[in-house]
Amino acid sequence: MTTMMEVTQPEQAVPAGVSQFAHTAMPYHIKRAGGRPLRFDGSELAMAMSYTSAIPYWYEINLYRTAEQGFVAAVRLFHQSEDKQDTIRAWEAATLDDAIDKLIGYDAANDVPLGTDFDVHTAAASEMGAWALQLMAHISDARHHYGSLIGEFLYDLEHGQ
Amino acid sequence: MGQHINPQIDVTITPALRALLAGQSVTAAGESAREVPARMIHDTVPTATSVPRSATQMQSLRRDGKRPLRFEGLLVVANIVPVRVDDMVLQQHMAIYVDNAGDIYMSLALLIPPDAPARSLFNANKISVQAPEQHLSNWYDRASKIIEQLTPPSPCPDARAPLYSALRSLTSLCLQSERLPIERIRT
Repeated sequence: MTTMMEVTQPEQAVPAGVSQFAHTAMPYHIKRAGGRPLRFDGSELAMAMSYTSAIPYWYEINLYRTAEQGFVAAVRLFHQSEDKQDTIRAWEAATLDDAIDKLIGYDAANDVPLGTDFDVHTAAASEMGAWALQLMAHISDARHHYGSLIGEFLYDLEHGQ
Repeated sequence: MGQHINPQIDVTITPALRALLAGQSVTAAGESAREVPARMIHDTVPTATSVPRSATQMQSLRRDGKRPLRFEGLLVVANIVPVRVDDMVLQQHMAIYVDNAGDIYMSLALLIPPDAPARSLFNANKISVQAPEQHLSNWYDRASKIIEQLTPPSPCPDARAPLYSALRSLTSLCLQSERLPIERIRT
């Protein structure tokens, strides 16, 4: 598995209390697809992942609090295959709600590869149709996969102990 | 990408975040403490019967891919219907709520056994009394796809029939306007 991530994980969850974030801040360095690396000192607030051995990819979502009292949201897509590049998207946010909205607004459809083994120039119309249907099914599946993850995360956020 | 396999979800929320959420609620609402939301109707309704309630309380309805839908309101009716798919028994939940402003909400859930190769579905939306069909139609489409995943290929294309029957039964029960005390809530 190839990874784009170089993140120093905090050793333990911090105890309750907002003021303690700055005292337990750790340096983070998150490489991002299509953007400059995101560097900040902070602590991880929450994490959810969808790793399932029978599925060739999984998502991990993270929320961080920065030492400057801002927030960072990250969505990581991992592949079990070492031939595929993992991707990370991360965003800074001023408020926790904004950070959560970044996670909610993430569209997993963008992670579905178009496929390079299909020649759109020579394919028959019926083949194009079948290919499109297959692609739509993959998009639907990816959205459902990520939707399940974020739904579970948000539910736990509201109802967990 | 793309396999019809149930992903296993692990969630870790630190006490710091829970404290932060509680603190934000104090700031935003100007109240001393955050009201504990009522447990989801999907967790609390034990049988396939209507459960009218008489007092409003904070409702929190689970939705896939979105924040739970939260509002102060009244649970008007809730119903659970088993849906048998091959050897598996699913549960379809439907509940209707009215908030303090008179708006109506519908929650739908298709609960699938943990060992099944698909995840349970959850949805909730504000609806119109006159036009809940779109909400139900969208739900039917989503649930049907899951039912198809759970059903091995068969020459008999009636896998959706139990779902449709259950949905129709729930709909006829839940959408009877005389069961919705809207006028009472508004007045």
